[in-house]
Amino acid sequence: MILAFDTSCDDTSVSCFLDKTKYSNVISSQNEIHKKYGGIMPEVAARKHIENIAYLTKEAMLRMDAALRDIDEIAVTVGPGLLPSLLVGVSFAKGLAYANKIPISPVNHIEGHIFAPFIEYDIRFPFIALVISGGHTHIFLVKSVGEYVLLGKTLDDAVGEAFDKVARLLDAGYPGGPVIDKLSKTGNPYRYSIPKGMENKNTLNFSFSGTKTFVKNLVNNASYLSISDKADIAASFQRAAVDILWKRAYEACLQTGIKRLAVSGGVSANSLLREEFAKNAKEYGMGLFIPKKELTTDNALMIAFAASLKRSPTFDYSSIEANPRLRIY
Amino acid sequence: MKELVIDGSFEDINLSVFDSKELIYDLHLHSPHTHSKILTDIFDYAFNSLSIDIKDIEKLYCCIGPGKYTSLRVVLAAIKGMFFEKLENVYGVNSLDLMASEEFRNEPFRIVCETSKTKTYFSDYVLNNGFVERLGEIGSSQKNEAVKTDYKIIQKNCIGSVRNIFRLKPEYFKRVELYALTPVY
Ligand SMILES: Nc1ncnc2c1ncn2[C@@H]1O[C@H](COP(=O)(O)OP(=O)(O)OP(=O)(O)O)[C@@H](O)[C@H]1O
Ligand SMILES: [Mg+2]
Repeated sequence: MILAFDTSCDDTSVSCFLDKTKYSNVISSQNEIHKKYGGIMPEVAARKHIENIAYLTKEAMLRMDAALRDIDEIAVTVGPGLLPSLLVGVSFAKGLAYANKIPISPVNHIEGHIFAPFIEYDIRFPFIALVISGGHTHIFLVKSVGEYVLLGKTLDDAVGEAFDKVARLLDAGYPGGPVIDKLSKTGNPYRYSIPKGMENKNTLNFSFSGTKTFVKNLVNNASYLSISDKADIAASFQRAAVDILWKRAYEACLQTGIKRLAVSGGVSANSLLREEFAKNAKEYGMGLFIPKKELTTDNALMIAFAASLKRSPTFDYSSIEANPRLRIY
Repeated sequence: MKELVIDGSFEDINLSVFDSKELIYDLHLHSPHTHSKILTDIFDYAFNSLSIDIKDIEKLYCCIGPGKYTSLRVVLAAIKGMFFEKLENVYGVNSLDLMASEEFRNEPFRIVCETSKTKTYFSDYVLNNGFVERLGEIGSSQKNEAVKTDYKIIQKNCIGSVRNIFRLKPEYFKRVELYALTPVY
């Protein structure tokens, strides 16, 4: 059994993983806490991690009826993420591993996201991975576990960040992604034509800063925005974002001749995205793999699963260090 | 009965082990590495030197701050992991008290510790019946306020040793649930 931790950002998560059907996955969200700041406060997040981590570990083990002697491997996110947050998970995991003589696997958070869809499906390599989250908008060619080729990425904001910023501009609430998702359902997605960064350029990269500025100007130039105006802006923005994400992901599949697309990260929870991608993938005869909603955002189950694929635990505890800028490519 | 005292609330790490209140191991480490990197190695080194196992530790005293945010969180997280489901007897100790325990003087004195640009902690102590005793509550303020006293001022920015911990009045050790250990900043 693998005991895994993810404290890369604001959610504390612990998972006990035996196989794809037997696992626990406990997540303590800090959304309510960071709501009042309108964004994540790193020091506050780290403090919450230290307050919660032991209780959540107990809970994750209880749900699997597991004792420490049942744990064969510990897995922990070592980066990328917020350093104060990462350090809590890494230090706890190392202490636990050392005291119980359990080997430990350092896992890259993005590898966790990349493989999250395959907790439900069988993996066949190679595939194209579109990782869309609060910190990433990246397209990878995944050749095997550990072999990733970066095909494209955002040149400025991550798409999740854009959702969060648009929600803030509309004063619509926190966290931005789910709020925009909900608000869009009552809006007209064709009222505004929002720029889709570098739409007509021949590239697999993204840019969302123009999108954001457009919405900002729209909001600033309006003397009054009714709820339905806000819904129209949200819906138009969401449509633009989903369109460009599909366009690039599809282009990556065409260029590589690979017809399997895995989409993950918090933004893959978006309902329009899930609908559109499913429709398009069917139309073009592609295999589409998106995790269940609760596995799109940060969770330790995906970290345990990635560790189970990597099979590289070590007893050299001092080699395990948090690295906020860790890369996989 | 083996008791372990650990402090990593500032840049250095202090670790002492007592057997029936007799000091049997004492370490002060000033290292260029982060606490997160070396902590397991330090425990391993100490336990190996003493030929003991983590299970032999019956009581744990842990410095909970005030101090440096990151250092405190790393040490407390590591402690929670190490002693998870292993130990019930955990006590939190304040860093100013530990600083006072290092002082051997008869007249009252004030420990002053600047933990950040905006926050300075202070507390007054006196030696009473062989115990180091607080003369009031531990306070915090701006630095210029913290040094307003007639007592001898001892400014510290780190703990030099935890070997004198039992010179403190036992009531200063606060029993805490291991899971609930949180730093005082
Ligand atoms: N339904 C949704 N629609 C659109 N975006 C969403 C939705 N739900 C969540 N998000 C966005 O997902 C992001 C959070 O995802 P995730 O937790 O994977 O990111 P992160 O961990 O902060 O970043 P990273 O994984 O890159 O380090 C936020 O920006 C949030 O707004
Ligand atoms: Mg994430």
